[in-house]
Amino acid sequence: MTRMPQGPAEPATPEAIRAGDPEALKAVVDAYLLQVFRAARGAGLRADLAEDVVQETFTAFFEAAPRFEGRSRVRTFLFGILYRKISEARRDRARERANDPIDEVMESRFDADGSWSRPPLPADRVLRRREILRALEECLDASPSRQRFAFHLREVEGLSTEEICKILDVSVTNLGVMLYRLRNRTRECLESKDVEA
Amino acid sequence: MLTCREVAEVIASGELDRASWRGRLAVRFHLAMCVRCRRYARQIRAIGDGARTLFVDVAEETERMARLAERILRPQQSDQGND
Repeated sequence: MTRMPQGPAEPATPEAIRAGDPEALKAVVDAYLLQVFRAARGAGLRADLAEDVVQETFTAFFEAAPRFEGRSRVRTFLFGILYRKISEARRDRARERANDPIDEVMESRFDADGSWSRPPLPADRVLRRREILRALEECLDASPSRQRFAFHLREVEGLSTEEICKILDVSVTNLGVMLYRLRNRTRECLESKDVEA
Repeated sequence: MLTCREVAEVIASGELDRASWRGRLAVRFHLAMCVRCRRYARQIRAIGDGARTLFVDVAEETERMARLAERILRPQQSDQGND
């Protein structure tokens, strides 16, 4: 018996998934459709494109089912497929450069001693919740989908660092850089709009 | 003593979530004394909270989900029928 990381119970056994049991495959769809769709939206896909990508993700899962060994959770496996489908759909991995401009922005915020030279500003504008959320949505849009996907899995789906690293096939350090960039870019963007989320 | 830059890094990268109690304590100590980093930490946290709120709406799209589930499962069932 392999040790499973903690989390919700699996919707079906690896044996039933491998056998292509329709009940098992339906159970997987029922268990994860919403989460997978939400994550596709979280990566910045519009609803109609997200639907297509989610359908492709499950189709790829069904195709791979005979080889599913159950070494990772169904969820991890599905999010891994989704991640590749999103990259294909957006073809924007190239846009994520080694030198992200946000790094320079952050550099300019601190002095040589590492203290704030331009400290974070408090927001003065009084906005309604809806307007704040709309501003946040716009600001999140400024980040590459890979960073958004990582951030979504962390903050909205509440996945562990280990699981996210497995899904994205990156190191813990790498994931940290992605989250750091997205959060700072978003914070800078909100600050420029004089908004606090 | 941690610098503001270091505190911002461990907070935004999520390193703080995995830090030892000693590491967490050092950050807490800095935050207790530094209003600027407190503001920064609050803003970073609010971005996560806001993202969760944004996706509450998406969770309510039950009709879309039902349609999508059917779209996904239909070819699957007809494949079975062709065997």
